[in-house]
Amino acid sequence: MSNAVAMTPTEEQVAREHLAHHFDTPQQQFDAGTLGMWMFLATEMLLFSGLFCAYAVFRATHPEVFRYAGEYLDPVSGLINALILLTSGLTMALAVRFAQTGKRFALSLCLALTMLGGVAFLAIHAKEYFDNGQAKLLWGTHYAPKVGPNGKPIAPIVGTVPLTAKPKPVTSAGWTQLDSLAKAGFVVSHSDIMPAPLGPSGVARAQKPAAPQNPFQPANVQIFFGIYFLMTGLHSLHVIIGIIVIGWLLIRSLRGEFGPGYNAPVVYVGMYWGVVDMVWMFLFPLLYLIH
Amino acid sequence: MSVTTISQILGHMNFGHTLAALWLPHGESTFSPPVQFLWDFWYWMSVFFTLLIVGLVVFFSIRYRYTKNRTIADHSPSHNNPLEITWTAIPLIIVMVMFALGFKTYMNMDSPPANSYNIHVIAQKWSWTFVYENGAISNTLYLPVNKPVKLNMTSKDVLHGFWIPDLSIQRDVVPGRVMTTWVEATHPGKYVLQCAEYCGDGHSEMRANVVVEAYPKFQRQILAAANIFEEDGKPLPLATVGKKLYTTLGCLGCHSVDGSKGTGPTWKDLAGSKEVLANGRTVSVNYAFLKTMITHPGRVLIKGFPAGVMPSYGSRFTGKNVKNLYAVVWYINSLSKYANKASEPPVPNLPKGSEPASSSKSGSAAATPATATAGAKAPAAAATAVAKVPAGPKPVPLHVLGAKLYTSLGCIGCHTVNGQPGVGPTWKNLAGYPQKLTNGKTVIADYQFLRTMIIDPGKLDVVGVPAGVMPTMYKYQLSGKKHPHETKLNALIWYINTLSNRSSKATQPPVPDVPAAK
Amino acid sequence: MTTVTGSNFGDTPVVPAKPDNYLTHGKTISSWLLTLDHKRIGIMYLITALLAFFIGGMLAEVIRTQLLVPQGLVFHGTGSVASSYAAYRYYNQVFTLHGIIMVFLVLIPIIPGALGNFALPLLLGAKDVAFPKLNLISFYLYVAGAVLAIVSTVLGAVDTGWTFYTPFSIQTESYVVVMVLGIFLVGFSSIFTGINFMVTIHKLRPPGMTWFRMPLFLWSIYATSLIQVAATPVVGITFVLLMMERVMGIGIFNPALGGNPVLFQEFFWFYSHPAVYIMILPAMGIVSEIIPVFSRKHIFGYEFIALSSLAIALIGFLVWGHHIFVNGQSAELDAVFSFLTFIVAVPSAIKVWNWLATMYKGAIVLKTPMLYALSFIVLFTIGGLTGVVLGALSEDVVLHDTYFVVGHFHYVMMGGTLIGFIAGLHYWWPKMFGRMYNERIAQWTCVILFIGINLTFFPQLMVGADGMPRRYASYLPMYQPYMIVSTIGAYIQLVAFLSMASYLMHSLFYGKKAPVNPWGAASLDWETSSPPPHDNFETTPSVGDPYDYADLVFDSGINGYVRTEKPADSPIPVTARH
Repeated sequence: MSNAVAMTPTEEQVAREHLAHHFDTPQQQFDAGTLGMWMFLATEMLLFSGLFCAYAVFRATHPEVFRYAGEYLDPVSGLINALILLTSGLTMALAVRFAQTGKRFALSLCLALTMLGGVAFLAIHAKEYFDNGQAKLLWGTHYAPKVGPNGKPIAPIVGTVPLTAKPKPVTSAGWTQLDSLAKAGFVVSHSDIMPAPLGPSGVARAQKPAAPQNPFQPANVQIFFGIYFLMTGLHSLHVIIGIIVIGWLLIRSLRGEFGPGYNAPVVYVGMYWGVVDMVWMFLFPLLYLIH
Repeated sequence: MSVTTISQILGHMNFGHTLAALWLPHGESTFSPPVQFLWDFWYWMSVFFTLLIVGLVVFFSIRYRYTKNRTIADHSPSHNNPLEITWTAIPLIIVMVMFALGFKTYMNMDSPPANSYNIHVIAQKWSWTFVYENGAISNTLYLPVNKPVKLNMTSKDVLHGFWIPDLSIQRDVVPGRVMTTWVEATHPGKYVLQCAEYCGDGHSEMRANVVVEAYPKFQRQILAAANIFEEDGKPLPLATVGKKLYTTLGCLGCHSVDGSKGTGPTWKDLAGSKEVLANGRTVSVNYAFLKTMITHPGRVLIKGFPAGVMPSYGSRFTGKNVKNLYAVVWYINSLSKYANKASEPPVPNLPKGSEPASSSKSGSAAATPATATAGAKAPAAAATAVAKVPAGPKPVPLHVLGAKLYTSLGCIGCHTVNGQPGVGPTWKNLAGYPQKLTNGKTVIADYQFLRTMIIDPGKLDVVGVPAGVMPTMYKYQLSGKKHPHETKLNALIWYINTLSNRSSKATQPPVPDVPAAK
Repeated sequence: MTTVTGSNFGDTPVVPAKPDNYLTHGKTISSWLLTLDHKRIGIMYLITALLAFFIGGMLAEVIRTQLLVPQGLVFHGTGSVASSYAAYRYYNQVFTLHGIIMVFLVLIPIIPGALGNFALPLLLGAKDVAFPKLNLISFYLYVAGAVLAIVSTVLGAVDTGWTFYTPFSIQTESYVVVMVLGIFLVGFSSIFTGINFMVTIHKLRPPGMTWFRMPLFLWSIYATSLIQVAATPVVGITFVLLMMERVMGIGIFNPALGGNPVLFQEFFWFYSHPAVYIMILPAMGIVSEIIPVFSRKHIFGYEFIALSSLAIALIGFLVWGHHIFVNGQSAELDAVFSFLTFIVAVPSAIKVWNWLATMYKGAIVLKTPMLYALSFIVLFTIGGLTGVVLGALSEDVVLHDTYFVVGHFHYVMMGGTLIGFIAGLHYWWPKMFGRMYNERIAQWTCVILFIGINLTFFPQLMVGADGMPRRYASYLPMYQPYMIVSTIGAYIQLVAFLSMASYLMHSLFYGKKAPVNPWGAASLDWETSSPPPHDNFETTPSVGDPYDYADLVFDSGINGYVRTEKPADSPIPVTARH
């Protein structure tokens, strides 16, 4: 319903047919829908923002974990995925344009290409997940990679990346104070909750960590992978939903339902896909390019 | 509501407590005066504005009421900017004053003085424990007067709230962190510490007494508290000490002693009884089992009780604190009619130095007349009790004894005998098979290997088995001076041999499985 | 759709040939359940939320009964400490459910969902909200959330408190995942409603209704929607993370896995503090509508009331940290949150002064809606002032997690939101159902409720200042006198609510027929018949000043107000300015 394209009387008729009873003009209806869609996308961004906050907090409190764990992710596959999503974003934008100008074949083709991009993205991502699963680079208690005495994985998934810096030992004023008390011969005990990786109800099962203590591997690496899987998982869910909705648009477009008179769904889904692309452009550097 | 209920209510009411004012408790710490000052400021400000607003509402409603003769409002403006600015500015000034006052006091609350006395506060479901600089542990918080005290607080499980209304301090206790606050009490007295952050079933009963005393008296109190095993210089029976620990360590939150149901199993008639485990096995509750339950609750689980609820008391019962374990187990034994030698700790209930004969005769010195007698005997008697049971008229093969020890010593918790994986390696086909060590070597699991693994597990690290989990206590239970023949150790190794198809001379103990008849 | 004429809502026909209204427009069950009419959706919200309120209220009575005696009257042990703790778990479940139901199923949706849906398009002079289908989806998400809450309760009631603090909520053996999923759905219902209302206000205002000629209820709904849209997604992701903790052991909030339990509190309150304004702002809007109508006088300081709603909404986002002053965040951060908390108190004060100034020299009619609005002012003043002291850092240390906090937020939520809702319900009741309730009984009920609320919650303020912590199943005997008075107050409230339910039900069937404009309001919702027709307005109403009552005169023949002449499409009277 772009103003740039003049409508024929037939298209005017189509637009009138899609007008709900409580709107006065098709333009009012379209504007309301666009505003509503923007607001919905804002809430989507806010949904992700919670995870971005968690990322920021843990990166601030555990910088050594992020530096260490970030080495395990392959920036090349992340970059390829970024390029794939950018391309699919372009085809989606073209689809919106073709819907407004009524080029039905080009519209269907662009929608199909966008879907293809989404599927390729998911395939590359699934391979990454699979590799992580194989190497046990997972969250919580599932984090159990085989590491050699130098802190490097025995069977690394992406080449052998040298550990750039020794992680700083994590100390906090409170613990130090307790430790000095203990050294002076006083009975003190740390919280019995052990760092990791030990079961959700950890309290009762608190034991020594399963992995041998390794001076090169910082504690709590599993936190990074928890955040990694949450962020990319939520994003992938959005990609899957996007593919399904674009598939629905493709069917409707093949039936010839979209034209200059009625194309609001294509515009709205185009906005959605743009936001999904944009989220990855944030996720990629945050997760794959940690230095 | 029945008459009894009403009389019950009246009976519990304390009309001495005033209902007349909305007032803070009379604070007894250095924080209290500024807190009270700001409270007073707010209080009278609020009284003024509430009365003003209620007064205006009532006055307008009467003065400007709608009557037959007065159906429309008088002419008056619907807008007045100076007025709006005035009544925006006045509240703004008031709240800024409140902010400044509150902030100043709060910054003071946040910075403990350098010369503070340190007390370590341990919160757990649902009890408070306090550890002092001299190592004393108490369930009551003792504080000196006019001396700043820094409280370093840790939680063992969930969030708790450290809250003493009379001393005007509160701080959440967050698991995984050391939370600090400080206080300087100004008057001696007895106050109550209540848990303020919701923490589950026993939240409302998670209280502790706070006793503020002059510094010399405070020191005497914590010295007395440092030794729970003595009273007036005389050693207490361990079961009595155990009864104290039952309260101070918070066992009472989940375990009843009268047979009623709780989150954990009741201690009544527990020792010496048979219990079904979650994995279907039936075990007899002997000393080793009780010990495992207390020090490593994750290893064994009695059927019908939730996993992961029991906190790990770990260091509170091992090492130099092992006497606590004896005390609690003696207490559990004193509550059970099934208590027997096997369920009693390896040390007597009444420590050396007291007269066992007199105490066992009178039966009143100990809280546990039934078991005090047995416990008063030499430690060796209890320690060899298990070996004696099979050694009846007919000699029993050692591997049968080993099978029994497998359960009673708690091996069952980590090692399976059917090849299933567990925390530790399975005993099925263990003897005679090669074992990979973390130092890269591979060794055959022969007799020496098995013996070392059992009594000195720290020496060998087998690949795939978490380090440091296997307890080290077996060294003292199975070998050493008290066990010159290592009968039980050999029994276990014989049992392991019977489970392997590669059992050979090299893997078997140096004594025959079936002892020669007497 | 079929048009049914000549029928009446009740069983006594009043007029032989009654025009079609939204209640009679379609009579089948599916015409209700699948309706896209905002008025019917509003009524469905009303019924569901009142049902939830009934359950939550009964749980409150159980809580108050338990606290009659120090060791607990309803749930108590059989002697041993362990048996007491096992019994107290039931109490913990009861107060948790009370909190969850009241916050998520009653207070948040009841005014926007029921009254907002019904009145918003009418006040705008529009035919419907912008997205009627989304509106219906919102309602069913809300119902689905409520159903999941029931399922969770039947399977294993949660005992975490409505705040779901980690790590307790990760460890407890109850159906936290199901409950949290339910709240997640209710959250999305809230988001969709917010989007819908914001777009409606932006795009469906009729010609002539500028932003500053909107009724103030619309301003407050707009500010509410802003919070709903911007804050609810954060609690959504927080609850997703909590579910992941329990299902997958993801470890973000679990200290046993290296996670940070305080982060959960930050996330939770980032939503739940603004959520308090989601609850209170619409109630303030209702009061801003009612007070000028029943004072027969133009609202005082329109712009200040309107913009203070937005100010509350925006500053309200920046104060969440004041819920967690004692959890160990840095003192500097605490100071910032404390400062902003004090700032956000000011716009609320501005509203109160403006309401009082509106009453000044008015012609005040103490009909039921007005009585409730005045109750609101008094109760909200107490609730607000007790909130001010909680914002002061040093005072929060001695009041945090005590009954003082319980008393404070019940004054705001019960005395504010709920009384505001009841005021609005009585105000729009004639428009909703076309019937008048018994005015005398309603006025007395208001007085009883006012007494009951104060009797319940004022002792809680006192006992909290004295040091009694909240969420206690048992307590020290010295607190008992306060607890008994509080419980008596709760029983008095129960009487008032039962009375209210009776006379409102009675009015549905036997009440006098309502005129078009029984209160003499000047906003557009009173231009259409009572109840309104399916499409809201026979003819598009012309927009005037919603607070200009000069042309409205009482006609005792119809027991309502009529316009003496068509109001000119004029700006706010010159006399109002200077």
